[in-house]
Amino acid sequence: MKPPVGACSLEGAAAPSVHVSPGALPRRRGTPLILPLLLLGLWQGASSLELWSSAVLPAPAAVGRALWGLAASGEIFRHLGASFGRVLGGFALASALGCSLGFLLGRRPALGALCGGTLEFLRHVPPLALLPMLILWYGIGEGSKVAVIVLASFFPVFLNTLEGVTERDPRLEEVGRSLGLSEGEILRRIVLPEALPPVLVGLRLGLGYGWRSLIGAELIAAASGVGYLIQDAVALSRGDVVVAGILAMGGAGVALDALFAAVTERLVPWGGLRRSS
Amino acid sequence: MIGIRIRGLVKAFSPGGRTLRALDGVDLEIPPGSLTAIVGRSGCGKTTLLRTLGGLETPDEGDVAFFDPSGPRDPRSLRRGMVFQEPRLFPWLSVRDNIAFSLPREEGASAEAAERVEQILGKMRLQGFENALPHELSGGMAQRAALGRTLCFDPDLLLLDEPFGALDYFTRRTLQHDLAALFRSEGKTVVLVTHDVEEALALGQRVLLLDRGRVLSSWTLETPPGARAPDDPDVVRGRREILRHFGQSSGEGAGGRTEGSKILRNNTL
Repeated sequence: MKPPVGACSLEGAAAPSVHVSPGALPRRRGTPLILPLLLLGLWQGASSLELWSSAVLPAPAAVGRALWGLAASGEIFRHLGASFGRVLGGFALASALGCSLGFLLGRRPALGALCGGTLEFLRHVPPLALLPMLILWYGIGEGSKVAVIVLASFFPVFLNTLEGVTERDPRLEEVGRSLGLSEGEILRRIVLPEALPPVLVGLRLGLGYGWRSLIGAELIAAASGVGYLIQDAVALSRGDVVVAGILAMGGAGVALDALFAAVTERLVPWGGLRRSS
Repeated sequence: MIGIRIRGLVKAFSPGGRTLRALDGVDLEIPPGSLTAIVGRSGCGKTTLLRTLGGLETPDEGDVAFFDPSGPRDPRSLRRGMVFQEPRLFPWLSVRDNIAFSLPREEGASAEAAERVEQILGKMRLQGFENALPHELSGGMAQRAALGRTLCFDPDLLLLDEPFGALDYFTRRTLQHDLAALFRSEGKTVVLVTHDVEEALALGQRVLLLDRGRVLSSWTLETPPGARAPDDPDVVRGRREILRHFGQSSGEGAGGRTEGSKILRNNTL
């Protein structure tokens, strides 16, 4: 159990600090906007001075016009809706699988030892490398797209759940035992709530990883989704739409993450996300 | 109320492949409704003894029998509540929910249960902090909440494992006073493990010296717990008794008695 899980938990422990620590830093309300505005100014300045061709990187004004056009026609919302649907579907499946397997392997070390090596191998295979096989198994419909997202989201959820179950404070279980709780009650009333903060960190990371895998998922014969929008714009040499699609994807990802963080702050008021990082 | 008879209790551990007998044939009787203070150096086996009484360790040899002087009872109905050195509060629960933790769900929602929790909040002087989370409490408040949680369990036997050891002097004195008052009002059988000689002599009705897994000596104090001045004849006699044993049995040769005196000046073994 220990070698694969230990190796896995390193990622699980290190990765959250990257994602979560900015929230813990003291900052003023407008501070996060300073750098993007500065970059936007530099970008516009360089484009006005024609330091590079608009084919390489279109000017912000052109991107803004493209984004406005996509929003006015409702096209961007249709694509975002399709992408959200896929990500949430894949993420829900990955969460169900990752949480169940994490709990099972965390509570049954013998099973963890049996499965650890295989899971560690699969963790190192990028979902895109499996794309041809996924198309063979699930076709070019929604199945293969959702499968890519499941593969991208699964491991952060699984590894953080496993860590949450195995790296607990055993002294709390002792309290439960001394207060006459049965094994089932200890699992339900102590193990599950105690594991919740790392599980939520895993879910948050999994959601982010799922969102990032969208382009790969929507490479597969898609007719909708932000990934498709970007791929289509590449084929039509519409750099402004490509950048507009990238901005929409990043913005939607940030909004989704902020929503998730707000929900988890309410679910774990004792500061689980920050503490477990 | 529950009494305890312990015969030939042995418990060994093997840290690093070396066998250590934490309990090496303990014989002991704890009367029902008494407050027994077990005092000894670190590693003398006092926590192992308490954990064995609490059912958290299984003895290798010997026998622990619990008896109820009012008549025979089902051993499964015996409630043993333990307070640990650290509060061990559940960080996801408020003070109120921590205290009510041992109440069954259906019972926890009843008016009587709510009243019981309120009473314990009052006894533990935690009113106004019912909805606080453990990380918002001071060390003393957290330990009072932990004691309240165990009291809400309504144990027949209250086991305290150096519950005030990690607290500052003033908080410790206050909680010692609270414990003595609780002992008088609740009338439970209490076993307190401590390395603080003055704490044992201030709170114990009966003091028991443990060394290297064996009971060295035990004696009963006449004045009630919590009402003894530092120069109370019982306390002075107890200090002398402890010094006599630990001075001679420290295993440090000729310097043993001197070391024992020094140890007692610091109030700890």
